[in-house]
Amino acid sequence: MTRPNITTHDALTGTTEVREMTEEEYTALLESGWTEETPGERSASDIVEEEGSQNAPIPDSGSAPSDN
Amino acid sequence: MAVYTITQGEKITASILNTYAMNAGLVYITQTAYSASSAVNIDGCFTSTYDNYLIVNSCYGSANSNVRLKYRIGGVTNSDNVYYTGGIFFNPPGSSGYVYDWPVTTGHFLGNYGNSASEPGTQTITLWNPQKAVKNNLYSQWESAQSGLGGFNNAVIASTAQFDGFALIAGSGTITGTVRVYGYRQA
Repeated sequence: MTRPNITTHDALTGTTEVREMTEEEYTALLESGWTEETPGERSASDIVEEEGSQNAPIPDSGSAPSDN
Repeated sequence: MAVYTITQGEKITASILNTYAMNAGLVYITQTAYSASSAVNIDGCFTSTYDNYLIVNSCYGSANSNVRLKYRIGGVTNSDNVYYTGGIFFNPPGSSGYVYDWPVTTGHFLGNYGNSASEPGTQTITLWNPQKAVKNNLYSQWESAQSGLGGFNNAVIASTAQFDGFALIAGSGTITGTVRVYGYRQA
């Protein structure tokens, strides 16, 4: 299987290289949760919700963070 | 002399031009256009010259997905599970907002994008101290022109490593777009 491309830009020289990912880079990409293109339609909010988890603390309505 | 006002008919000297060049608020560092890549690495953009940075990214994908950020040192991406991100996103019109956090494994969540070149997803990202030996913070404001979805994220990395670059990582498929990096000039 062909691995996806990776672009690397060097800010010091201004050069940009595009190449196929190495096996190591591809493994790291997969471990980050990357998936191949998903066929069919999914809404943007579905995608955000699937990747995130709704377990962040929700502040009480109307309350501001305390100074102390 | 941080500011100099040029009057009508006044000769513009090297001193005046240098005043403006030396006192610009944001200083351009680099940019690159990228195409059909699952990751985009920007190396050598964080130096001791600036403490804080602004990244402006505009992209669309081969599929609808999210773009994430991981830091790099010496051309190597830090893939440790140290990326903490929390945020709020809105799905207008008429729906309420959602409070979310993201897994530490994915990198800092930056924003969502669609798959239309004419309706890009945009992220404006402020970074504090990526090149200093402290835990650095990040703030991202994002919007997807395709879906209308938008939001805000705050993030911190549980590491005091001194990073010299970053990677933009597609959540799925590939991304195409342009990223620009600026430094906040220090007086």
